[in-house]
Amino acid sequence: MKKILPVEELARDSRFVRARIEDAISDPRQAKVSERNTGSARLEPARPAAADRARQLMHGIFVGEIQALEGAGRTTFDFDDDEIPFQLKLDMARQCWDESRHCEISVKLSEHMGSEIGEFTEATFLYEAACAPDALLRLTGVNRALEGLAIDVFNTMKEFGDVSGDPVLAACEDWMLADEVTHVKMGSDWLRRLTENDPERRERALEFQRTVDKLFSLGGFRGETDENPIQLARKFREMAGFSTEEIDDLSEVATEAQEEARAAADALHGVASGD
Amino acid sequence: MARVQVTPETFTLVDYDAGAIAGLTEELAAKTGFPDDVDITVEIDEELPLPLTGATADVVDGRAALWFSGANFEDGRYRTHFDEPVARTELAIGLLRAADRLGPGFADAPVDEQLSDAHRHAWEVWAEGRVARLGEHTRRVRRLYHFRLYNGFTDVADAAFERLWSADALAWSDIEAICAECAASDPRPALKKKGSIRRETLKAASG
Amino acid sequence: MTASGAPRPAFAPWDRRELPGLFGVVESARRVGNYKWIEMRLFEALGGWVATVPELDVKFVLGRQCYHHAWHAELWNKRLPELREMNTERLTEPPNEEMVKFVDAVRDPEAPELTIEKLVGVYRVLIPRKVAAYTFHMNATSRITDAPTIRSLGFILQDEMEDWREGEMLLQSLIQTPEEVERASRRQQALEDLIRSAGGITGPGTLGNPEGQADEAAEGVSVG
Ligand SMILES: [Fe+2]
Ligand SMILES: [Fe+2]
Repeated sequence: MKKILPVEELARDSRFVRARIEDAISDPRQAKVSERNTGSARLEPARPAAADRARQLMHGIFVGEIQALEGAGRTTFDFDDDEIPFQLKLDMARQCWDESRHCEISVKLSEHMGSEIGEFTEATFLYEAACAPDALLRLTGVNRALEGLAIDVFNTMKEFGDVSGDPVLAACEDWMLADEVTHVKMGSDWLRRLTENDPERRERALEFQRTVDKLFSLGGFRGETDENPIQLARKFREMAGFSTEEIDDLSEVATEAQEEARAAADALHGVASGD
Repeated sequence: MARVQVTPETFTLVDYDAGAIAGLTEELAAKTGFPDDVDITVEIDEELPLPLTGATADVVDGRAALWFSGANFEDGRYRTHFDEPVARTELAIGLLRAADRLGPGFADAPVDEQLSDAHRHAWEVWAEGRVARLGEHTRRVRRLYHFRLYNGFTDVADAAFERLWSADALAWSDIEAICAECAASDPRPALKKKGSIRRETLKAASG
Repeated sequence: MTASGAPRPAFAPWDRRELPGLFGVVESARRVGNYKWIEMRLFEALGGWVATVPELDVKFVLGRQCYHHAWHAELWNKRLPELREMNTERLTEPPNEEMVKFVDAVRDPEAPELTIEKLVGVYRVLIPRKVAAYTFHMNATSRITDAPTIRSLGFILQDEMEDWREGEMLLQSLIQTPEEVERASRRQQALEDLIRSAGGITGPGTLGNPEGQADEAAEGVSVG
């Protein structure tokens, strides 16, 4: 088996269909729907199509967990003993088990919501951030950015479980949230330890994290305003080793991502309507 | 003029075929026992992608007026593609609910836009249960999840779901009674007023 | 004190543990180093394979068991300094070159259609060999002087037996056709041959040497 498995080679059974980025870009409905008022951004039962939106998000979480599992697993394998510390490998193996449980939980939650495995397409941008050839970039890309996004998403889903009175969803998300805080903390701790004497390397890794965080803000999907369906979970991020400045930074990155997406949509709309 | 009219006649944003949808509607009208002498309009908002689902079934000027979000017919695996088994169920649910409205038992039911989420989802459970008994593809657990979201995650709501799913004949007053029973045992504070993704509603709301 | 006031014996009548064991400190440390090495190579392989197997149940099991073996490696890593090996890296090694060849062969399959080959290597060859080596160590070492190793072996063997059963059940459910039976057998035979050349998890003498037992026992007693 080779080191560094490219995203195209992730193994899936016949139920899964991968989302192609070009399909999303060329879908003319994107610009149209952005002009419509489709209700509050926050996930709540009064939001139009709340049930199917929640089901689709849950399916996204499920495939995200598969990729997080695969990413952690690959990190145990891709680096030789002289490349990363033994304890870091152990942490990644532990994360592998945790993500495996998250996959199991997500399958059960999807069943609870009436979804089938593979009912929605799978976007693989999470794994793409998880297969960097540099171990430090994986720590920032995966443990700080991807797992950080997981904290935000699970917190949002837990709140949705609470407001919709769904005890199964709320309880499961809370358990997963606890694990994700641990994973982000692992990333924060290892980043500090591995770059203790190399501030330049640390800065490069954090720069990579910023890039990934922007990508993961998904053009306004995540942020701190009422327009963002996924809210930054400040409290849990602090528990996981993020400083207030880092969270402020992330909030800015999310706002930038949202503004860029809006500008892109406007441009697309201009083209579409011949303005 | 054909009995079934599908709007738009040509889809430009999604890979749907108005003629095929009209054909399915005719077939399902016969299968569900929809009255022969009632015209049917099927309006599809092709701008709305998954997961922005939504549907209404009303009777307007003596004809069945079915409105669907394009998402209701969309294949979750292949963007903009038509999912026939899912579309059949959605059309059949709409036809059954419109047929309900034609009978005296639902004369008092408000139009769909004014129904509460709890009422509309309860009614749809009854309709999908009937569609299941016709041998069509249905998604029972998904329907249960939708129902619970608006009628409570309680044993009372689950029992109500079973009754609705397997009921043969109901009237609007039965739906109201069942939802009231669910609401009485639902520990949540009253849900906020529902939103809508229909363009008409939005125009009215913003204008 | 007993009711009569007489002191109780240091060993209760049912405690039949004896001092002599087959290994001394040095031999025990050598074996533990081999154990840590194989556990590491195994948890890495399971972790690496997660992304290469399309079967969801297998994917999740590999993810879970990856950590089991990592934890075993951690237990052995903690045991090494207690066996006077302060540089734990030094003894974290395979017993011989043949063992490296065997492990490379176990970890070689990558393609998504090779799940049977992947699992046969782990559950029909490697884990049975580990169970055998660990059981031998547990039965052969001094139950008094090497008790900490025995305690770890107990925990690890419990994992190994459960994981083995789970992997074997996966295999039995994956092997559905005569061709798949053939594939599994061929794979097992090839790997068996390699580990036979290596002599087992800790090299020749993994399961003791019937002729040489007296000598080893003597060493154990003298050191212990
Ligand atoms: Fe996770
Ligand atoms: Fe995680």
